[in-house]
Amino acid sequence: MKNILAGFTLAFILGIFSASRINLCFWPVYILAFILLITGCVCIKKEKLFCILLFPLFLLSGILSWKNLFTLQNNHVLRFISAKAEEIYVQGSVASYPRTKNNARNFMLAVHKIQLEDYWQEASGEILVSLKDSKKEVFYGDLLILKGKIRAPFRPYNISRYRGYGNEYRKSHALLNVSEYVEKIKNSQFNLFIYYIFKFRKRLENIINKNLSPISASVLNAVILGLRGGIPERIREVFLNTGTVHIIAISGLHLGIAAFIILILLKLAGIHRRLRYIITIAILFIYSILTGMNVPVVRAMIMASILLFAGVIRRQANIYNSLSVAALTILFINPTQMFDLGFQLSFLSVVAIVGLSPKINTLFSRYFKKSVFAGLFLKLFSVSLSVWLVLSPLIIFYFRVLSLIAIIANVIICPFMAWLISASFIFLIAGLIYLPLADFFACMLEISISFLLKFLYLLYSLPGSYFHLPRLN
Amino acid sequence: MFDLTYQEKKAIIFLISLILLSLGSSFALKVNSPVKKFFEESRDINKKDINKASMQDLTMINGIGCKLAEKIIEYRSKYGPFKDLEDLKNVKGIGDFKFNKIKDFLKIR
Repeated sequence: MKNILAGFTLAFILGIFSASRINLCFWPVYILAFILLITGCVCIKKEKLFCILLFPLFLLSGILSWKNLFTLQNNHVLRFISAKAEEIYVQGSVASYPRTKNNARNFMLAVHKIQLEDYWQEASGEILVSLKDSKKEVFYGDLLILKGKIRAPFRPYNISRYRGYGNEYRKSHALLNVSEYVEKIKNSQFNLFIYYIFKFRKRLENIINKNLSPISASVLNAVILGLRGGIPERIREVFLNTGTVHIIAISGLHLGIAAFIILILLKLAGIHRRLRYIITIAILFIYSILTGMNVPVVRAMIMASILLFAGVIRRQANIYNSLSVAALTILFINPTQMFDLGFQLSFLSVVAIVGLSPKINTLFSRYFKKSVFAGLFLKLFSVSLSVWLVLSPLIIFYFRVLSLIAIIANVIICPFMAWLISASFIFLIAGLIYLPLADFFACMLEISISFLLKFLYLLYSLPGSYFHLPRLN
Repeated sequence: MFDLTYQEKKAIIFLISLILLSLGSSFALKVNSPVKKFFEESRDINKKDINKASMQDLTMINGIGCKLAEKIIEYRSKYGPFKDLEDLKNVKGIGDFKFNKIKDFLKIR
């Protein structure tokens, strides 16, 4: 069986799901898993018994991952949150790239200390901070003292409340609504590697903001750097209702184009094939940190790395197995991602593209035999239709929107995105070399983004392009 | 059944062992992280500072009603802050028995 890892991933997911519903103790499950593992080692030569043992092993691993995630350290900040949500002082260092959304600065804070009554208590864990004063300069690694109310996180698998919470961050974190920015103690560099990547990201953000109009800059910041906070609500609605919201969330499309450009440039530089692949894997890894390590980026990065590494060792990669490795890695690190919309959309869209799109392509291919352009159009159409068919129920469930125009919109938008992303990379490289040089490419980008928005707005205004559905009981 | 080679089986066993070991060690570390310090401090969190406690804070303590809380606050405002918990015995209505009942819920900072 070729796609064995897909089966194991499903068992792992089932384990997470059961652990989220049934309260189980960690150690008895752990001992059971260890017994199964030892039995598996003993029966390694017995084909049937070994394979039967693997599924419960992955299922138990899923249960254990969930239990481990929700087990807090004894000095974890969540243990000090009272039901009354009183204002407390918190000291900690900024652990993520601060984003601006609705005039507030949002970032993760790695808590070091909290003040209880009149003394400081050492604490650990991360909380999501919302700082209303967006003019305060906050950066990764800054050691801050803040005062505010900490709100406990809601259980992430309660999907009916999904949209009511800050959707930019992991849902299992407590939220600190800052009422007073007390002081910045020092610029303590948390992790030098990430610090310099974020510094670079800040520089890229400045190049975009200085050279483009605010609306174009907000779109490009989302498309290239994954900073979606600046996009006006009206434009966001246009993207959502035309089924093209995926272009402002960095995903496989963006990473694929980036990888393609890097490979071409390295080939032009005359670098050997294997080294070329290794350098591309490294750059993609840095790019995924640069864009905030969101689930679709991590998924695409792992899959691309497996495909490229298979090229290095001259073996053929199995797409389902690489997808499974990506899912297992993400879920092992944070099992709550299973209930995250981004995770579900990202993985289901790949399944649709790999599994369903070739079948649709074959179905219609007899009508498009003669023309190359028609063949290309058919390929894009099959991908767009298959993704629409698979994702529509999920989008209706979460957003109550059925976008009929999405199929056609994506056929046109996806090739256009290849152009836009390539032009954006050239613009940024020019900006890094010499800022006025970026001006020339900025004009080109302004026209492209303006065309993109006008085109989407036209589709959005067409009667019957989308429908808002009533809430189901 | 799945036509796994011996090497693939070994790789899977290695992968699961790695997952289980990392989960086990992470869980054990979390459960046993600075326990003593945390519990010593946390016990103190629930105690009310006798010199700062409001009427509401005092009445939340088992053994102190509204009248006794009023008397404690009155004593505090008349004679100044308590220097020792034993001084509580000077408040009318607090004898040895009552003091032993409530002293574990109070502190002086």
